[in-house]
Amino acid sequence: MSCSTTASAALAWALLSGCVAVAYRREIREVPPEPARVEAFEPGATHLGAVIDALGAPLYVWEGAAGGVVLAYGGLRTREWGVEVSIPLGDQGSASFAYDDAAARTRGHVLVFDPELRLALVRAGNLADLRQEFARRRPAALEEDVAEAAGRGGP
Amino acid sequence: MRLLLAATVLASLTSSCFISRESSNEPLVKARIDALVVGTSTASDVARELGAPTEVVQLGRRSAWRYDFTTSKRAGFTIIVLTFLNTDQRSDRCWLFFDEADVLRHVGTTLEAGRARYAMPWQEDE
Repeated sequence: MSCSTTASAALAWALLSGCVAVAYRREIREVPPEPARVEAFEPGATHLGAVIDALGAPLYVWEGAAGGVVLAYGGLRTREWGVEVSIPLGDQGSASFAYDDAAARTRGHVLVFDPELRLALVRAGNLADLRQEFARRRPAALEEDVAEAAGRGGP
Repeated sequence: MRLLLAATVLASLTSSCFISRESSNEPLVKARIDALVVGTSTASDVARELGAPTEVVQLGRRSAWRYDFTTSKRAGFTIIVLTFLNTDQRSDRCWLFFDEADVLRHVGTTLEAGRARYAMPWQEDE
C-alpha cells in the first residue's frame, strides 16, 4: 500500500467517523448600539440617566474600579469557517477542540461613570478585556472561610 | 452520469437539517415595568411587581437589578462533514438602578428577544 493511499484512507476514516467536521457559521448575539450614538456623549457632562434613556438596557453593569458605575453595551456579529476535531478516549469521554470559538468575542463600548454618575470616559473594544480594565474585582471567599462561617452559623 | 447520480443519492442520504430554539427566564411584561415610578418605587415594590431579579449588582452603596429573557434560534444543515449553522440570540433586558435608600432612580429597558429568527448563515442580518 502506497503512502498516499494510506493517508487517503486515514483521512476518509477520520472524516466519516465524525472525528472531523468543517463548519460555516454565522453568530448573532444581541444588538449593539451604533458607535456614533455612543461616541456622541460628552465625558464630564452626560449623566447615567441620559445614557440609559438613549441606549436602553446595557448588556452588563459593573461596579467601577474607582467607585463609580460601568455600563457595557455591545454584541457579536461573526461569519466564519471553522474546523472541529473530536478524539474518542474510551469510556471516559472525549477530547475536542475547535479554532473558531467565537463565544468570548463580544465587542462593544463601556461607559465609565464617576461616583456622581457623570460620564468619565468611553472605550471601545472586547468587553471581556474592558471588564478587566475598568470593573472592580471583589475578593472571592476562600472555601475554608465559608466552611468556618457555616460552622459558626449552624444550630 | 452514474457517478453524478451516486453522488446525489449519497448527499441526500447523508444530509440533515435542523432547527432549535432555546429560551431562558420568563418574558418581560412591559406594562409591569411601566407601572414602576422612578423616584417613588422602592426595591420592595419592584420585587413585588416583577419577582426575583436574575442578577443584583452592588454599586458601592447603590445597587442595580437585572431582569432578562433570552431567546436563541439556531438553524442549519449538514452534508457528511460540512455543516452550515446560524445562531441568532437576542434578549429582553431591564436594568433598574436604586439609590442608597433603595429608591428606584433609573430604568433601562431593551426588548429585542422577539427579533431573533431562523436563518441560513449567508442571509443578511435584519
